[in-house]
Amino acid sequence: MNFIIVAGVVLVVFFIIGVVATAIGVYNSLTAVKENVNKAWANIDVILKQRYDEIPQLIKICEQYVQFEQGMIDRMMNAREKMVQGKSVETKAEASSELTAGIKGLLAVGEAYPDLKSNSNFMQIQTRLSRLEETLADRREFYNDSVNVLNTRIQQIPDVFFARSMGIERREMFKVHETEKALPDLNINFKK
Amino acid sequence: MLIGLGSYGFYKGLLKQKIKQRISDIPRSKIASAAMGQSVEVQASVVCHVSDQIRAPMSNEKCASFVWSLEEERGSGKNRHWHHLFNFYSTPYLYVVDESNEMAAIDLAHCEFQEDSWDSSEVFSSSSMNLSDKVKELLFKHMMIEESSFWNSRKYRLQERIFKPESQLYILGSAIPMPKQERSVDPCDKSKFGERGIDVKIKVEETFKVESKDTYIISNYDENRNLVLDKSEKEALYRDIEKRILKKYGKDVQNEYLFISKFLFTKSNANEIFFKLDKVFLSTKSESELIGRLNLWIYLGLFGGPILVTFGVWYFVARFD
Repeated sequence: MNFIIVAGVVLVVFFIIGVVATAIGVYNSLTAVKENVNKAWANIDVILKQRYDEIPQLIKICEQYVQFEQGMIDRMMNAREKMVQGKSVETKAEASSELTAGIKGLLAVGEAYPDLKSNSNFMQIQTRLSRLEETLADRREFYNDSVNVLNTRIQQIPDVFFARSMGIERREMFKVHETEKALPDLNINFKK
Repeated sequence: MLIGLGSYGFYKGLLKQKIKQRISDIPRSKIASAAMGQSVEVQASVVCHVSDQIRAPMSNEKCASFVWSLEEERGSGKNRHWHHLFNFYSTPYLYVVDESNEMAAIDLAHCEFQEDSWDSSEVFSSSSMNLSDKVKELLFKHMMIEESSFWNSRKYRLQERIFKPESQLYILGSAIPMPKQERSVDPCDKSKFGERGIDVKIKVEETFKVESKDTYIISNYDENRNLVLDKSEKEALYRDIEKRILKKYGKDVQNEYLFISKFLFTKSNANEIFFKLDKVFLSTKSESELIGRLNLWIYLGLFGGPILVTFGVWYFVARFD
């Protein structure tokens, strides 16, 4: 039989197998990438919740030594509520940044008050929060990498066609807000 | 044969494509902040306390751990092939540390090494056993082989892979909480394991043999004053000797890494039907080098496979025309 006919038949068969395998592979891997992003976000939420639980205790310990302006406490509690009730990444990221700034301020107060600094409960919370912040930073980086993978994949061929039919859209990154970058201002955070 | 080889090559190409996609899709984690789950990717270096380091029996190099693969030659003529019998692991776990300064463990029995090359390889027969004494001792101790006469001699191949301290590893696998004991998760019959810190253990036992006969030491440990060490008194002496010897290495416990590691890389429980990827990927190459190598196998498989099948089918059809 003619070699060309044989080659044509074999190549058509392998082409069909290849297309079907590619379609299944793309669908499955896009699903996996989407779920990776969800999982990465859920893992950040776990840390945010742990941090959220430490804040009332930290405020209570600091108040034994220092009287804070009510406005400052209110801002922190509002940020805490916003973080719990927020639905979007943007809202939670903003709330998290405000909380981080507030926590930095509270911990900085400890540096100014030796009695507070040497309080064993304060030191324990300080250590726990410091570890949580480090873990949060790493997990934020991981989440942003996962989002980057997803956003890149759904714009490439042939994934772009599957992504549209699967309803997969671009996701936002977990960005650091300006409030978190600012240094804590001790003068306005407490009154003696 | 061409049809079979070509089809297998095409299948391998698709499998390598799946592996490459998984490696590319999962961002790298740091051990300190990684969340446990199905797919965790880490770049870390092997760590091993000086008291746990051993000399690999075949290569005689200092290492943290070594793996043996024992195969038996079966069939004859064209059908001759190597049949895999056992894997031997000098220790169930290998410990690694990354830039976050935290430690993780790897369940070696559930790893898939991406490099096919071995550090040492020996072919021998069961009648002549032309191997070093150390290798023979281990083979017989763990019942991997029996010596035989010339008439029922069999041919074997023993291959060794070593993990040196501070060597870099790329790891992708399922991460679970650390078990309380150093034991492989669901080991199969073809996996055999050595013991960690065996050199220290031998030293402790030798010291114990001597000291348990010393009358002065007996008098210090003989609480019930019957001039003989009972079981609990012997255990107390053994523990004290062990602590003393470990203290020389600056350790309190033989395997402290077990208690400070954050998680264990082991097999996945994912229910995949096609192209199952349930083992831990382990490679000495970086992620980019690994992807480059996988690309080569993908192109060879996906293009070479159909070409081989084409020639195979044409030859088959031509024979009957």
